[in-house]
Amino acid sequence: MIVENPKNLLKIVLKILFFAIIAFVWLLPFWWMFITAFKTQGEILQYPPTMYPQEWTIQSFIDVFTKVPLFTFFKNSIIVSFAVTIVAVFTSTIGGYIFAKFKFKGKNFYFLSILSTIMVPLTVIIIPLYIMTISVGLKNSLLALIIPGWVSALGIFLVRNYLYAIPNSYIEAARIDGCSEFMIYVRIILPLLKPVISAIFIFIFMANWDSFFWPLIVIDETSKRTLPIGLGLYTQGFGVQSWNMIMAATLLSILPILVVFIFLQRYFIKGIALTGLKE
Amino acid sequence: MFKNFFKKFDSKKRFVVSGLVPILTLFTLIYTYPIFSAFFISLTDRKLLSEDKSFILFDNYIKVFYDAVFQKSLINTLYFVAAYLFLTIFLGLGLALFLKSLKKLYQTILQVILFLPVVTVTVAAALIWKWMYVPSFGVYNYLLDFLNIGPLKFLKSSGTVMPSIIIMTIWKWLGVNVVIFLAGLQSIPDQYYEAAKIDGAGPFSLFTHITLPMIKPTMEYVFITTILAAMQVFTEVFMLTAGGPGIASRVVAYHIYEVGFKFLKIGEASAAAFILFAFILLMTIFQFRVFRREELY
Repeated sequence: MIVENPKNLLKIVLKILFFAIIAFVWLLPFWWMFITAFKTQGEILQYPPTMYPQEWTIQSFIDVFTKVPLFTFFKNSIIVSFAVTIVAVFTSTIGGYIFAKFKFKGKNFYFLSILSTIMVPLTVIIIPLYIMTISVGLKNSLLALIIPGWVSALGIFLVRNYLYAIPNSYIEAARIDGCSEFMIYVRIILPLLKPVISAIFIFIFMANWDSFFWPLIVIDETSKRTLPIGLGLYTQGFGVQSWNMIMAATLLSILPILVVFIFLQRYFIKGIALTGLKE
Repeated sequence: MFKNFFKKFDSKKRFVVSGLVPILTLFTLIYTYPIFSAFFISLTDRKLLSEDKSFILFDNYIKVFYDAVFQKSLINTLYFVAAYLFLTIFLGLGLALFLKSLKKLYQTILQVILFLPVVTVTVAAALIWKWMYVPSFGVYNYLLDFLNIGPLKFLKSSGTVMPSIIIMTIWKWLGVNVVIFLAGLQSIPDQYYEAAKIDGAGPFSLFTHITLPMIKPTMEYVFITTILAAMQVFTEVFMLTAGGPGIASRVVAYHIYEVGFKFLKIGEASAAAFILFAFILLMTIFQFRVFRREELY
């Protein structure tokens, strides 16, 4: 590339430099985790630290697999995240559709009440939720992690806003054709909502995959732990300097979702961008 | 004819009722009832897992407010919110502007890079950073040495612990706001800029007169979601320091966790939670007033 204007050349060099700095700062932690997991116990306690393992070993991974029931944590996280997200997408689309396209008494009151729950901090409701969970016998049950996520105020809000812009004639036409209300929702509304559904799906799934505070207090049986608490509590028992094992466990727990993300990155990024574009 | 009309009316009504009743029931069980219940608990000296209680009115609130540990937690939380909000908006908008100036391919690459931590479980991200922050063998002191800085104690000293947690949290979540800001920037029609350029506007006045006003809704959204999330910061603190050293990085959510679920004093914990709630509401109202002020004139 021939750049005739030196001012433009400077601009390009600065851009490349800036790009490289950001990429370095953002990727370094992942690189550091990766190489630590393959280092020997002796090498991680060296100063200066090596940026590349002198001797590659998979001992840490073997230790992690024998000591940590990572597979169980994974399975629990997958069950909980899907069981929450699928129901929450259903309630969000049906609720958002009702608030956007139907007239009934008390509509604004109900809608504003739902919307205002976005402001309620988890720390306020967590103690009564815990007491309720115990009184219905759901402590240490995955259901305790699933049910509280079944409704999403943000989800309902996004669907309602999206449907507001869509003309009623679609729905009226289907009604005249004798379509039942539920079939209108399934055949007409759901297909229209595809982009919103993928956005809601992604942010609810991510929030539940990462959920920590609630599972931390409501689950104390190892076999029922989800990935975040499993990883967080198990690594505390490794001994302070076993960073190679801790990083091996960390690497194994984030790898699957990173792979999924790389393949579906367009949907992830679009989904998050959509949540910010409100009216 | 009439029969048909009623049938239609009925089916609509049936749909609304059968859709809305389960949703409203769930919201009531998960939010409304717990809020009232928590307020009720905050007026008692009830212990977790015990039914005995006596009403002590606002004693818990007074106790919590004069508690030095809670005060420190609240100050740390507000410090965290202020610093985090400033950084996420400054860096988020800055990086979004930078991304907008890049070609599509590089834009995608950088977005993916910034999003990698976002899809990483917070606990895992915190573990990585805890290791990088280790003063003796950690990579950050090694790198800072090249810049003739340090060695720093990061999470081990009360002077550096809060900035260290804030930096890790920015790294973890910045991608979200960059993507949201970028979407906001891309929704501004190019003609606006072209017209202003013809009128002789420089890059700075383009930014203040077109970009900023046009992304106001996005800015508002980022403000409110950031404040809500940052006021409740828990996982990062729990994993990195558990509030330490001493109480140097203790935040309100951690305080509530410890008082409520370790010391079982749920009355006090609920009072602390409502004080946090009050601060969140105050900040939100304040924020709405700031953003809406111009529209009043």
